[in-house]
Amino acid sequence: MKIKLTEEQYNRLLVENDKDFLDGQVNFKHIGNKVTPFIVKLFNILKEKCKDCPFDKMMSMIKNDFALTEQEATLLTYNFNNFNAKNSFIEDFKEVLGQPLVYYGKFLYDMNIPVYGQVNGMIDGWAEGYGTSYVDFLEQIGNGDVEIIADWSGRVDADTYDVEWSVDDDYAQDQVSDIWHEYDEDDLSDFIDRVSIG
Amino acid sequence: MKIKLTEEQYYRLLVENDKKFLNGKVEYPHIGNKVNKFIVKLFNYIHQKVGPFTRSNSDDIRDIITRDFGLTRAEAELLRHNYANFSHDTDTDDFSEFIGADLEFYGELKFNTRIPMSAYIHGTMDGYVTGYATSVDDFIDKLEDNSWDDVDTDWVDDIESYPEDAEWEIDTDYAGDSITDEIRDLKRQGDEDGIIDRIEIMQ
Repeated sequence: MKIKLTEEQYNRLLVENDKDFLDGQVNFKHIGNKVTPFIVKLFNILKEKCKDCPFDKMMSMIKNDFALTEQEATLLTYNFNNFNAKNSFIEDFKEVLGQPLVYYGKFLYDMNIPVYGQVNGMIDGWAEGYGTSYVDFLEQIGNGDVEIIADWSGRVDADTYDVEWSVDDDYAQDQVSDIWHEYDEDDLSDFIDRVSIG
Repeated sequence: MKIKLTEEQYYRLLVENDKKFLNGKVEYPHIGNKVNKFIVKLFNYIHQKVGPFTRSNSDDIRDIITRDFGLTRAEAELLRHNYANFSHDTDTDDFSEFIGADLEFYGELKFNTRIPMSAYIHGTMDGYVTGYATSVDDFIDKLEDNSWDDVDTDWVDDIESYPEDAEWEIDTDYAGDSITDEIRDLKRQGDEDGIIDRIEIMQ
């Protein structure tokens, strides 16, 4: 028997499959988007061995003991904590079998990053100090008892090609805070074009 | 009566005049290289006003010399230094006893060199901000709340930088070391004349 579907029903079915997250934009190799018997087992073991562990430790246990990817472990750790938060007395995770998993993963927004680097150079100048003779003055230079003065009318000879650059974190943080103001809340398509998932 | 001098004697006489310091390289408009009556009067005046030289009246002494006697700053530095020397050596309040004594040169000198500089330059490059979220909307909320994870770049693209905007500063620590090293190297090479050629006496 064949079943006829409208385009809308077909698309909905695609979205409602048990593999994908975020309208089909993400799927994982070893887990789907619902709690399976495997995930029940994993959650039960996690509860037994690592119930009060920090997020990172839970994640690394899932990754190592169940041979899952970092992304899968991140999502499962988030969902394990989520189920625990919602149902504080889960004895056995069988009771959440078949329930949807919430997507939780890394998002990335492309932007221009401010960077800075230290450069060094040389300029003409002089060391200046008081002395009773040349020898006395040289001794003062040796002792560092002189003032070093650059001739600012000259040009600094510098190598700007060999700079060790770093991200300018403070400025970058300000820029990230401003991202939100760049977009119209009702039309986020331009924003979404610059977002990658995973 | 004429006195004949050898060339050496003539040059020695030039050096041994009563005007110049440092083998004839420095002379001042108002003072010579020996204590004369004017300088005795000046020293006595200072002594009467502020007493013997101390570190705390050092600036006052220089100001008295320039203001009350109309001498240059360089002359004041030299006379203050010598007043300190003479007043250190004696309890006297009359400096007539030093008339004719040599004044010791004391002045500002400068050694011309290359100064190490440093500056920060700024630029931009392609990169990204990352954060963990359950959806694009959730990610937007996290960006807005500043609860994102990291800002980073793959460091593969060119950096657009603006070296012309660098605000240069003297690399003070390195500058001190580099001048000391330079002097030591020149001395090691026996090039003392080379050092002296690069020293200027400020007047």
